[in-house]
Amino acid sequence: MRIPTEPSKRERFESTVLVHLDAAYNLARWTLRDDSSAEDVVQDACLRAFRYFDGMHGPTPKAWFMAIVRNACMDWFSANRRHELDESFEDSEHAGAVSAWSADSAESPESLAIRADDRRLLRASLETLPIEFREVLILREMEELSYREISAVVGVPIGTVMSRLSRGRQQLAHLLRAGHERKAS
Amino acid sequence: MNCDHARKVLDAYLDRELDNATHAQLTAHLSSCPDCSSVLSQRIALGKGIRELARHAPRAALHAEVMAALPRAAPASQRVARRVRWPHAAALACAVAVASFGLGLWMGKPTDPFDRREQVIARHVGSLVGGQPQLQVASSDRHVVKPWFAGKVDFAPPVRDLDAHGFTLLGARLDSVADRPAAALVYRIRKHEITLFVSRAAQSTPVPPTVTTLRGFAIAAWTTDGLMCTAISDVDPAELQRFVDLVQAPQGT
Repeated sequence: MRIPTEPSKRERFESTVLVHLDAAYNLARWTLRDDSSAEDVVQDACLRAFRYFDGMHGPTPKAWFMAIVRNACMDWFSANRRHELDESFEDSEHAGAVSAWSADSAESPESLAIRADDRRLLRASLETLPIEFREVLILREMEELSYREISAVVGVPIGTVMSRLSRGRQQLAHLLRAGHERKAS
Repeated sequence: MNCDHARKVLDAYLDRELDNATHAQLTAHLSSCPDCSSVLSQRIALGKGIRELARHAPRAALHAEVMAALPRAAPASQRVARRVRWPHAAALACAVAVASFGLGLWMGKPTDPFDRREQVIARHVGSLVGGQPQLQVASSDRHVVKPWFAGKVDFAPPVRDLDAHGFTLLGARLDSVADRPAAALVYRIRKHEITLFVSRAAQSTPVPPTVTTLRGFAIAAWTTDGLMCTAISDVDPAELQRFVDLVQAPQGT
């Protein structure tokens, strides 16, 4: 006997996975920095997610879906802009050599709070951050994922999530400061 | 805690990911260290700045386009029949049949225990997103929860008051397991949620409860009175067994 309230697979997919479509697009758009590529990748990721929906795993449906979106982004990079991926990871190696303290100058918090209001500069700075820092910052600050979820999405240990967030924020503060100095001069 | 250590855990502090002991140590350090406090304030301002940036929003039509692009696989017989009037009926019927056959491998109704366990993990974890369990009726009174299901499912789920045993009823919602409508009863014991899924069993043969573990979850499955029951939680298996025994116990009032 069938009951009218029984949700189909499509309905279940829509209510557990597709509710995160905005988050998926936001991540893809920040990762790829291009509207139409982001849309293609998200559509592809949705089909992949639907195909593997019955085997959904991971800490939360959102984390599971975001992992698929991220993988689709990485595939897109491999096929279209491989150099960007390589450069990014090289950059981050150099950045790692910079002292962990150098970016944390003793600037007054108020001045940074005002500066953080300068959205355009912040957006531009975030966009120039290497991918591995940019993605964890988007997942944490905009999508409010836990470390455990981010760890599942990016496929790295929680300790690495923590250090990438830390270094990402330091580099971002550094870029913001440099941007302001350029504008002031 | 010294500054070196403080800077290492500052971000996890900001993200509320520290254990209680380290959190307390860092709070104490921050109250006496203006430098570290200043860095924390900068990080807070930065985080606020990022959260206030407008997210990139997809085109409004994307949701509908994605839904339209999803393969329609089941029930295959109906799909084919409905499309017979289509101009390319034969080709399409073939394509649908082939697709359905292929899709059937992974879209067939999951009835084996392995899939059922994967499903209840997904439903259980998914319902806890946001820290609070998803409930359509929130009440610890079984005389409220049980009647709520009347007219929603064609069976009477066993709703027990187990408060005296440490299992507090939080409420319930309508869910599904193995593509069947299921009553999901949510209990809590010492901050751990237990979801008990109850749906109509495919066959009425009783199956005694067995508790297994999968990816850190304890899962109990049994069939009784024509009802398929699956309980899942991150408590240890012995605790879940105790819960199952109580649910199964002859009911007093």
